[in-house]
Amino acid sequence: MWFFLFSFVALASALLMIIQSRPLYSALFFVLTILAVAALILLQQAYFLAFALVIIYAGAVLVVYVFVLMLSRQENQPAYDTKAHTPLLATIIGLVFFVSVLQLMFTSSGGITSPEATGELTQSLTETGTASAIGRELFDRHVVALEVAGLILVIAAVGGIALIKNLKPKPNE
Amino acid sequence: MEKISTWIWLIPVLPLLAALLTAAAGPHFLRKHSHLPVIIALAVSAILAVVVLGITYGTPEVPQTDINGYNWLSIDNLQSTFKARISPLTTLMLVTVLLVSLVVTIYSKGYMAGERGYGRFFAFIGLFVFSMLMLVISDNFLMLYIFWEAVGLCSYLLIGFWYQRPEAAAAAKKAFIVNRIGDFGFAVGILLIFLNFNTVEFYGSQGVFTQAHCFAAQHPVLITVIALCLFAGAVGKSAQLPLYVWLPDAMEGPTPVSALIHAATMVTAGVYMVARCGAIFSESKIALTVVAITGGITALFATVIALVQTDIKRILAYSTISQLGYMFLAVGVGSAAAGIFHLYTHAFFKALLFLAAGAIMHAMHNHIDLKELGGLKNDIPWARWTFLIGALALAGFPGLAGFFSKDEILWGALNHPTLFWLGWIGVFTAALTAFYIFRCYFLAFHGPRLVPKDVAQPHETPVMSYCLVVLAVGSILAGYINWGKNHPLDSFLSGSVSLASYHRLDLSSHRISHDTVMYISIAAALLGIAAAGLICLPTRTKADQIAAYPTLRPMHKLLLNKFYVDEIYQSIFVHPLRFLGKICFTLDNLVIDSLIWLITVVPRAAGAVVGLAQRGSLQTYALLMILGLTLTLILVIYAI
Amino acid sequence: MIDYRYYLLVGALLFTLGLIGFMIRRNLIVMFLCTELMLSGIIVNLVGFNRHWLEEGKTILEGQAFTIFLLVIAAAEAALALALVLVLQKRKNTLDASAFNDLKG
Repeated sequence: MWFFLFSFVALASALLMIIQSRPLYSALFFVLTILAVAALILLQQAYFLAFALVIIYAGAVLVVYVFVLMLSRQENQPAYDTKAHTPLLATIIGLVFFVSVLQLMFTSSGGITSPEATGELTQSLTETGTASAIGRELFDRHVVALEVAGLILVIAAVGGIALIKNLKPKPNE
Repeated sequence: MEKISTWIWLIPVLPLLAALLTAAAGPHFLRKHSHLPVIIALAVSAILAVVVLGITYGTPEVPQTDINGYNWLSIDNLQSTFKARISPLTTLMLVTVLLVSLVVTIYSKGYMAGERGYGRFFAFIGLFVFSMLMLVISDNFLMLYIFWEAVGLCSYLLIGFWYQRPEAAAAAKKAFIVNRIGDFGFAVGILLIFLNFNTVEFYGSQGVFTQAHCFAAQHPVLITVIALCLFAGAVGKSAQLPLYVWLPDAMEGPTPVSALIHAATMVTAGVYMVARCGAIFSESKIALTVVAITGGITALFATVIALVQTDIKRILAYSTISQLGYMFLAVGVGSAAAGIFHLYTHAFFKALLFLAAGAIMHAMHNHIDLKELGGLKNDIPWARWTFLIGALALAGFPGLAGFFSKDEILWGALNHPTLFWLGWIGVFTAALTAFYIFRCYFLAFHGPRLVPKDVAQPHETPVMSYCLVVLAVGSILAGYINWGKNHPLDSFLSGSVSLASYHRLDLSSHRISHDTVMYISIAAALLGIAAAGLICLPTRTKADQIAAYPTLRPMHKLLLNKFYVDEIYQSIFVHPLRFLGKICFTLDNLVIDSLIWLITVVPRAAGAVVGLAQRGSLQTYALLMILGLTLTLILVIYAI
Repeated sequence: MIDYRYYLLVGALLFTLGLIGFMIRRNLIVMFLCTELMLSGIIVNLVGFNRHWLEEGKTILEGQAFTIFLLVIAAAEAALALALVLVLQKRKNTLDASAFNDLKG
């Protein structure tokens, strides 16, 4: 039951997000989407992941988005925010995409076949969502990827600063 | 005889090497001495040729040898070897060509001194002598044809030596093209020979000439056709009646070129070829008749035109045409030996006349028109006396070279059973020949002194004068090789297989004796000289008065304009062809270039159309990307 | 328990919505926001697959590990993308995606 609630929230806020005319409202709806997704993840007992999502994604990344949106404020409602670019075509393409993905998922010509029994897993699941479990997973089997991820973060930080460096107005102007 | 085979090839190859050396090293290293390689090569070759002549003359039984060279073409039946044919005919031609070439080349050292392209001139001369010599000693039709074309090429190069002058370039083109028309007939003849005889070799067990007699018995019509096709080539090369128009225009080239190529050697290649292919021609009465009539009519035609021309070189050009007509007449009536004899003597005195005209040009700063000069006997004495000797030889004055050879021809022609009327035409032409050449002499050297305005003091170059003297001596003495009861030249030439086939015809009816013919020709010559003296001598005005006489004036105009032949050819042949050329050119521009344009325009249009998709808009790109992704996904699901 | 395939469905829907939004919106920043939406759809997908593996009886948490990496990627990408958008905005003084069409033709 909770699943349906949270998934509905997620989808509704996503839909609202993409049809908003004001970008700030889009960002805020996106935060709502992320929170709903985190709840969905929580339902799977992946606690660490859910909190990581909320903290990092909603807390840091989206805050940056909001800041940048504030920084680049235009005057009231410019045209590019209100008018969509080929909405009909985009929707059709999106629908076609979705249907084909569905086809992939739910029919026998796709990949995923009949559902198995879903009953007897509760006890094995409780041990799988903790930080230690994920930590063990990461450090045992994906060490290299982890280091590279760290490197990527450093590069992103340096790159961001390098790009923005000349944007500041000069003191003498 | 075996010893010859080692150095016989030096005779043609030395001038070629000298030409290459001059071409390569002339402009930079040799400069003023560019004449040296060619002159030395020609001198050595001349000595060797005389040696060969001595060897072939000295052996009692006449040696005909084929000296094998290199088999350069071998396709089934079509074999072609660089073979040299040593027979009396070829050795006589070798000596003639080399002696005259040597004298003319030494002369051109003086004549062409200081000209632009000095080295180029001598290189071309060397190339020409090489081609002519190879033509003479070649032993199969393919080689003959190749060097036939090569001498035509050298003629083109040398006529157009001063290529910056448009008249010279046009004359060179005209020479080459008209020659080519004759050569087309020649090529057809060679093709017919190859098709029917399955070989192009002259002699040998399967040679053309060896088979000719049996072949003629089976296919009389075909042999006539072949002979006429071969004769077509001779008509083009030797400037006979329909195709003579290039020779007067070829006088645009330097005078030594006119002397060498268009008097002594190249134009005689046609006569030589007809004599050489005696086995074919002698089998067909019709072909011989055609040859004789063409020769005789051309002789008269050219002589008549020469009567009124005023450009000395043009007079000599028409004179050459006429004398070549005599040679063909001789061959056609069956006295081929007489024709070759006349070729040999003609080479000397015609070259002499041309070189003397060149001396006049040199003294008069390139003025050569009789309207502008006259009475030069005290200014250029060497040229005057040598020109006189040449004129006497040409007219057939007794004692000089031309007398002996012309005599033989007239005897042969007058004694022919059916074509004796050509003999009488020949006599009349002889009289006219004497007239025009002495008209030229009297107007140029006697009478009131007339000098062009830009000439301060006429002078003569020593080296030119010495060459003139050498040729004058040759003109006097050349005829005496046939002097005597046993006619040494005739017996020498009778050893030649080609000429023997003519001799076998024995067409002569022996009605008129040698002595009678001699008196007739002497009378004709003296008549011509006297008439010229009467009309042209005290002053020049009498000749002009006769020309202006009312009934004679249209004829004079007709002759002066050379019977309008050039204009007729222009309207019949040149204009339609040029029009056709314009049509082809337009067609090429419209149709073919349009196709090419189509090929280029299609990719460009395709590119422009595809380029429309590059709008630069980010969102369109995103749309198209996702569209592509979707399509790929569908493809993956439904097709796989 | 919910069948893992419903997670896949939700993930697909989120992804599709993000896709449509990316194609529709003309504001550069909102376009990137829709990209992030697509990423979150992927996260849901991964978590669903993680559940599937656990159901099969293999205790591997690769889905979650991958999600962690995805978060890292999303963060890095967001930082750089926004920096670039700011630079672009300085240049043309607008956030319209169709204003940057200098490479036309």
